Amino acid sequence: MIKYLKILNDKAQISNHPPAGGLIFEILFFMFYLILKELFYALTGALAIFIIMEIFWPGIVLAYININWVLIFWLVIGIVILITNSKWQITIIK
Amino acid sequence: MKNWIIKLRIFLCLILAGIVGWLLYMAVLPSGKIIYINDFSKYNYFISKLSPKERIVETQSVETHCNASLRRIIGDPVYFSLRAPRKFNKAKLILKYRQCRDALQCVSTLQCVSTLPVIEAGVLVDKTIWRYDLQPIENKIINDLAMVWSVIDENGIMLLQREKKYNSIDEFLNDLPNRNEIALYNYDLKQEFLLENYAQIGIVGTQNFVSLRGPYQFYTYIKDENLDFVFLFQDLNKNKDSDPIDLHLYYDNQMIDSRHLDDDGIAQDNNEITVEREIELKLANLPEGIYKIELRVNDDIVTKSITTKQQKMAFINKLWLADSGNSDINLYTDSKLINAQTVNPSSLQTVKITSSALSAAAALSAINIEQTYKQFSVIVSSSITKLTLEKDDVILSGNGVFSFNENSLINPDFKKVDSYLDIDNDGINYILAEYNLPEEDDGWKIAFAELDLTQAYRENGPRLIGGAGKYSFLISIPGLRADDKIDDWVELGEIRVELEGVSLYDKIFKNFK
Repeated sequence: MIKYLKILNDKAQISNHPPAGGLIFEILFFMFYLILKELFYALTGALAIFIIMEIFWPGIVLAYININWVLIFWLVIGIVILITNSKWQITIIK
Repeated sequence: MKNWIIKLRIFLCLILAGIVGWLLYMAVLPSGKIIYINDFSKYNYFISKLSPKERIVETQSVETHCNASLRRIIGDPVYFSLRAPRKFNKAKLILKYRQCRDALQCVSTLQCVSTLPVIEAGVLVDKTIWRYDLQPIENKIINDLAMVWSVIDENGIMLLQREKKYNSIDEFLNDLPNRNEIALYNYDLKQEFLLENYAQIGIVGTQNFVSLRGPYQFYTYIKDENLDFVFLFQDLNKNKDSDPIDLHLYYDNQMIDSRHLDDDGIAQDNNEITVEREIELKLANLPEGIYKIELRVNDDIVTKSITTKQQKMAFINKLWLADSGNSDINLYTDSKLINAQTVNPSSLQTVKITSSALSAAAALSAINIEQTYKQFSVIVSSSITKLTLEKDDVILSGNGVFSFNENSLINPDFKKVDSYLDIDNDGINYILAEYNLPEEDDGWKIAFAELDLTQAYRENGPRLIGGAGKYSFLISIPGLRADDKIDDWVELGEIRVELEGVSLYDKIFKNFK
């Protein structure tokens, strides 16, 4: 976490653009972005698995889960990630 | 940071694996047991909506403490299906319901003018002839008699006696009274049925009948003679299905012989009537007794004629006189309820009903079939009734047997405790029933029917490996009609189905045994 604080601080100094909502907000937002990204991958996998399961065993998923909502959730997360990514242009530094 | 992301990733993967595992578990159901409940509050994937919608009214509970969704049944019968992820061996169907008379006791604003004595529920066992295995939910006649008559209840089997003579059911079964004094309900009482004055005709006593359409069952009687039937069939090819013909012979409720004819090769609805085909059912050295012959076909098959040497031939519950231009057809029945229906506008007519003891002029009643696709009914009181039809292509049904000749009538069945049984006038002194009285809870009745699913029809959808199959259920409330202007109904609060089948352990263990 400290390492990322430094990175963000350096970025802010180089660009002479201090973060709009403060450094803490930027960190939290970055973490939120990472979580969303992981959630997006997980939902992509879930959708693929659910669809394959439904093809081979009709009703196995739809009996309990409404895939429409999963799809909508997946789509919303994808849109949020794209917007976030283009606004802040955050680069993950390894 | 990397560790943190990996941990999050593992966590999400575990959740996904858990969901997939749970879905697989619910599909395979290793324990072999599952309960599905539909309280009508929201969409239920497993238990479908009740149909047809013309016989169902969606209501809300009028009690102040409850705002539940209810389904009011206003016509008989109604259907629903159950999607089951795998096969099961038995189902316990539990209904929470009340009739208008029950609701009347707790809600004074409701009005009720009728009571319905019998409610039954069952599962579809034969799709070809649409036969349901019906089990009792409630029989008000037995409920009422149980408060007045002497009752012996042993393991779900009830013996009701007008005057107490027997101390146990075994004592009753070992020393049965005259069969005319016994009425049964959901109980298969085995008693040899022999005709005392029966004598075979000796020479060929051939009978030819008017053409019959679709499936039917009939009783016949054999004594020191060969079973000799020749059936002539024709395929109308009006529907798209193939039309195989299966003929089964039963003795003592066991199938002892059968015949099969494949489809005529035209599995289309081209209306091409094929050549007549014949099935002979001839057997020698059969013991004396009653035999049942069942024809399992769809409505495309017409029986052009039945030629037999047997004297007795009585069609059970239903027969469809096919459209073959016959007129002035006489039929005899012991049915108290007689239903008539036609799908042919040119067969609209008035069916004359006379007591067989009276002259034809002394008509007891009549059924005026004035509309196609609508069933018209009449209840008669005489023991044997003669029906005179102006034209054929009429579906006749009832709670007894039908015959083309009064002497051919034979009915080995015990009287059934239904709304058409007159306990006093019919001289019934004993009732034997496999029946559980419904429980009462806050104005609602809770009753169950145990159904055997091993023989039930399960419709499979398109699938590659597995997939939910559908069991079809029926709720029968005889006498309940949506179009009779009588404000009577049965309200359902909940349908609960407890399924039980082979466990995964047993399945694996049996395969390796």
